[in-house]
Amino acid sequence: MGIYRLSLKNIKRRKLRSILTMLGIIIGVATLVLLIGAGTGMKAYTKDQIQSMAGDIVIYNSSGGMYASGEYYLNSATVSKIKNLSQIYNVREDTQFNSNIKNSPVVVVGLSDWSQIKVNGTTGVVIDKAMADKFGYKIGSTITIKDQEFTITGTTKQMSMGMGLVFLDIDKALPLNDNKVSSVTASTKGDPESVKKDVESQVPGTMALTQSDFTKQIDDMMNGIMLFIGAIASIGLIVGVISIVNIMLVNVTERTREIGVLKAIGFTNHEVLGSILVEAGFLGFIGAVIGLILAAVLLQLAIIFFGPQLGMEDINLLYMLPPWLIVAVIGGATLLSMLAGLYPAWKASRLNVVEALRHE
Amino acid sequence: MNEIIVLEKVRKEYHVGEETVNALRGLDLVIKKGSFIAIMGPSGSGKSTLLHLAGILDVPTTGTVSLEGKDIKEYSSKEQAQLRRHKIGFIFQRYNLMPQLTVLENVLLPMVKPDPEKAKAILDKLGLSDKYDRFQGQLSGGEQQRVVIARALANDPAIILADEPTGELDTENTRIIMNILRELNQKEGITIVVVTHNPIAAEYAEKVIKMQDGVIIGENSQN
Repeated sequence: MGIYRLSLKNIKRRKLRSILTMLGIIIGVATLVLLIGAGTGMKAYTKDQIQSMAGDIVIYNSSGGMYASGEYYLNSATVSKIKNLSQIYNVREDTQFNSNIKNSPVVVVGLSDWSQIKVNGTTGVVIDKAMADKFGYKIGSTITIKDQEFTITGTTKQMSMGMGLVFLDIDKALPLNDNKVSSVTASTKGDPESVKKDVESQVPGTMALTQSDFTKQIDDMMNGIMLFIGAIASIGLIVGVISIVNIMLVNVTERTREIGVLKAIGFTNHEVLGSILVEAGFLGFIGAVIGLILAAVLLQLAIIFFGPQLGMEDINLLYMLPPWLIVAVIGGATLLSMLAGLYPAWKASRLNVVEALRHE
Repeated sequence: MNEIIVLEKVRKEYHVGEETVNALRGLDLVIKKGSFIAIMGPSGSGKSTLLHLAGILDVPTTGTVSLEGKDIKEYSSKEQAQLRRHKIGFIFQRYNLMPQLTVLENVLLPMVKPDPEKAKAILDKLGLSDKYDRFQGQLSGGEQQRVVIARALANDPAIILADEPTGELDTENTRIIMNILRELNQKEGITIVVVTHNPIAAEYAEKVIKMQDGVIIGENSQN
């Protein structure tokens, strides 16, 4: 029966107070894990999706690719040069242009590889679910793009955001866009990074992006967002930690005589300090574990209810709760709670034994 | 060496607000190994202060307190705590058991090497064999004080210092507690120092020291 087991007994001794103190940590940890977990999950899932893309390299017009304004297509001469490069194989063209359907602006995407699109029905002529719902289109309905009629073969499983999307087989889409190619996707022989340099030097007017370029873009974007939401969510955790300082100070004051007895029967100042720190750490640890379980349950519910709508039905909890996040959150909350207990613990360890024994 | 604790010219001052209280005023006392001493005197005479200094819970303002020949001021705070743990057993008037622990756990708490069998043997000797799993609130005053004695014996102390150990007990329980202390003194050679107001409790000591206004005003030996 050491002094440190006494710390655990002290938590059990005032259950309601301990639970209320832990509540701050539970809410703080749950919020933090929920937001960081969701961000981490989406980042990891998106990166996985990119890595499962068929091509190692995507080649654009050097004006900045599909996101640039102005003329961003690859002309047919450039496409021919790309196709003739020995370092690449399995070359596929994609095109993209703006059009209108029933006076509503749409983006038409011509695809060679449909693996990235989750389709209800079959590939060929696919419109996004939002458009289908808006105009009442079904499989078999007819749409007109640039005066040419197409019969819808499928709809996307997920809603698109912003403009409506229509996906066509590349051989149907290219003639509609004067055979202009937006990008060329290819597999590489050898290291994609060196092939990228070869392409850019051997085919003037092109720029190439590898999978790692895409994942870096996602990292750059998501890391900033996650830092921001992490900072906001941490406020909850900090409030929880402050409540630990408060409660530990109350506990130390209430237990002044007990602390006096502990010192009288031979426990050193360090042992008394350690026991209060362990007690604060236990509060943080238990709170963090409960908060983590709560967040995991909520994330799992989010996956079940919102995964299909976001086109992420195959995402799972492992994406959102990687081991580093679990260790960081539990370790961090425990450490912060021990830091919160530092002042009360120091105060307890400095108590004068005689005065403490006289304390009412 | 026959002395376990020696106090020489000990003064102890406290400050209460702006007022200085002279709790001990140049006190000399030798406590011999294996002795059983009762310290009596009115409230404010310095009895408890003397006990606190003897138990290394406090240090004198001037003068020296030596434990087994060494001035306690020469020990670090950590060493002082270790001396209290290994050599001294404390008994308090208000029991001061840990309410969150069972009787057995209270006895195990100060043990350097927690030994449940030893703790049970001590409790058995004090007539508490059926109380191992009870909590403080489930015990009578006399039983609580016996648990405190058991806790004081956990590390086989050389000396037991008791501050009003029978202060909250009736006569019957006072006699039970004092008999236990006498047995510990006579059979196990543990030095006992008891601060008390109670003449019945003082009867059990071999020497009674009387204090007033921070000094010893007399002592008498008794059988």
